[in-house]
Amino acid sequence: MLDAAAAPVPARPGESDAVALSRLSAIGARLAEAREAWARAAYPAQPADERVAAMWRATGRGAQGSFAHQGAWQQLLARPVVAAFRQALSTRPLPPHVRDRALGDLRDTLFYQLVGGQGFAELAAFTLETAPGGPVAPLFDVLSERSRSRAARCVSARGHWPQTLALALPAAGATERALLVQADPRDPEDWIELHCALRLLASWAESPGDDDRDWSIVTQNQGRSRGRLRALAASEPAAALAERVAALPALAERTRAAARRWAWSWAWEALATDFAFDLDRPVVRPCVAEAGVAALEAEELEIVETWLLLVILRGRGDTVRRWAAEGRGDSDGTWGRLLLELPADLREADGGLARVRAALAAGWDARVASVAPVLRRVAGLSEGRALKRAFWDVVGPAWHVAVAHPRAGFPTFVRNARDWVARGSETGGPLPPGGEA
Amino acid sequence: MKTISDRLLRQYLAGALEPPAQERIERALRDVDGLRERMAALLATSLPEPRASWVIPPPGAPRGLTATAEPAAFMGEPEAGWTVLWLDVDDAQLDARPVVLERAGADWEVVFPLTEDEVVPLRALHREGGRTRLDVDTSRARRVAVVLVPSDRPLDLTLPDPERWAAVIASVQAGELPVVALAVPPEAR
Repeated sequence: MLDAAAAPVPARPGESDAVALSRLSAIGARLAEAREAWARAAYPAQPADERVAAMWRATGRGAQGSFAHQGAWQQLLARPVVAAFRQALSTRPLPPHVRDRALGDLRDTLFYQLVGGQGFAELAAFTLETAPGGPVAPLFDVLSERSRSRAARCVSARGHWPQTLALALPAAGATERALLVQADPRDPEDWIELHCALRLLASWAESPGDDDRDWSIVTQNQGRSRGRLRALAASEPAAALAERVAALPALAERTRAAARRWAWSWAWEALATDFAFDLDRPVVRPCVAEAGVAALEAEELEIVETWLLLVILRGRGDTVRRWAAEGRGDSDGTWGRLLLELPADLREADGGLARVRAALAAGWDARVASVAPVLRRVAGLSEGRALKRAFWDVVGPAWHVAVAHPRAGFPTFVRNARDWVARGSETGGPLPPGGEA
Repeated sequence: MKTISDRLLRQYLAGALEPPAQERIERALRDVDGLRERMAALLATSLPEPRASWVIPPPGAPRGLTATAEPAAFMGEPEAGWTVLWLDVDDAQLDARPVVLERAGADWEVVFPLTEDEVVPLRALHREGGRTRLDVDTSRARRVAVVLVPSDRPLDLTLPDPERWAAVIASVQAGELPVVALAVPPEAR
């Protein structure tokens, strides 16, 4: 399907077209390898499989059917779900009483999140991804005509997808494209891969990047597209989802594996909302075809946190706070360049950064608390010849590859980190007098 | 391969990675120097598995029992540290024995009854307007819960821990007993 793009491949600065094509080909091979990894994943059969299939079928009868197996669901899922939360919470410096409360609330809430909110439907979508031919085809297969139409409307109007569609399906407007893509016989996974490749090409036009960053761009776009597909699948009637899932072999292990992935997303949602455990808040975000600011995915938040770290290290922590709250940055080149460090895929189709600003404004304290431990360690580094290496030893494990590594300015980073920590800014509290830039 | 983030390693430890990423980490664990040690260090700093036994529905999602909580008052003045729970129970439930729990860390702790003498049916408690009143010491609690154990279910406080509450815990987890959780009013803490 990449042939359909047929556009000249924009080489990165300093690279020939041949090198760029070769890199694109390497990404294609990696995508093929990823599909094979899904096919290789093993889910051993277990004596509990039949019982779990019955539990899934019962979810198709609504809350009453689900409540009949409450204890069994708790036994099946509490451990994998709590394990995912324990690891997610371990990434943050949370006080013990907050962690205890969160894990306790999680155990209490788990079944109600499944039965009361969209939980079972979301878990069904994650479980379907493990089916033969997964992850995309089993989700697409469960979609009704109505959902397929909704998916077509979404990809013809939201984010950067219209550009992808325009390349493969020349048509006048979004409505016409939506109709064409809905009737298109191609494998939806091929569409997603084409979209990823085009986003990668677009990123090369902006910055050279490297292999890790290339793959990160591909996996982000793939993850976002699959997330939207999951949300659509989860909106299908419970009975239809339950029957599809219950027909899968080795269902106990598939359900546990799906629960761990679902819980990982849920844990990051919970971290962002101070463990409010709102049963009405979906873990899997639907595509909103209408105008509005869509929330960031968990991995996108990680990218924003890396960028926030970079901004603070560059000495513009106060600016980014003001920008998040009021939309006003600094009118100089440094701030402009920092904004350009945000990956293109976090931008709206018009180049705006509304989603990033909204995420920072809504979760400022959480975002600042997240980068605080790294900043404190950077502040403690000694300036000298080994600084660059020491810096990356401290910062590397927290740095998302989607944000380009700074190549210089390490002594300034240390000074800016010291200033930020000394002012107590990492608490997210008010700045001292004169602290606003 | 550049640095693998701690977050990715923790996701691996949680078993929450998708198959391609999981295979990538497994390869890296074989090939990348120092990665096993980093993984071990992360494992050592992982939160321990919470020792929790009770599973109580969250406030707002009661099972078979509704109730309200209000600060206790004495001579018209709020009585700090005490909460009045009003249980909406009908006459058919009056033989059930109430068990009161308060949130303690990641688990729940039974605060009533603590001895065999304290095991009483609802009908022995003050009743007003179709509601049964329970006065609970909430000086340490932010959340309390009430479970009703019907008279035909065992409730033997002479048993040693952990058997003492095992049957009730299992029945609550299976959704077989009426249960409600309530936030303690801030004035009653």
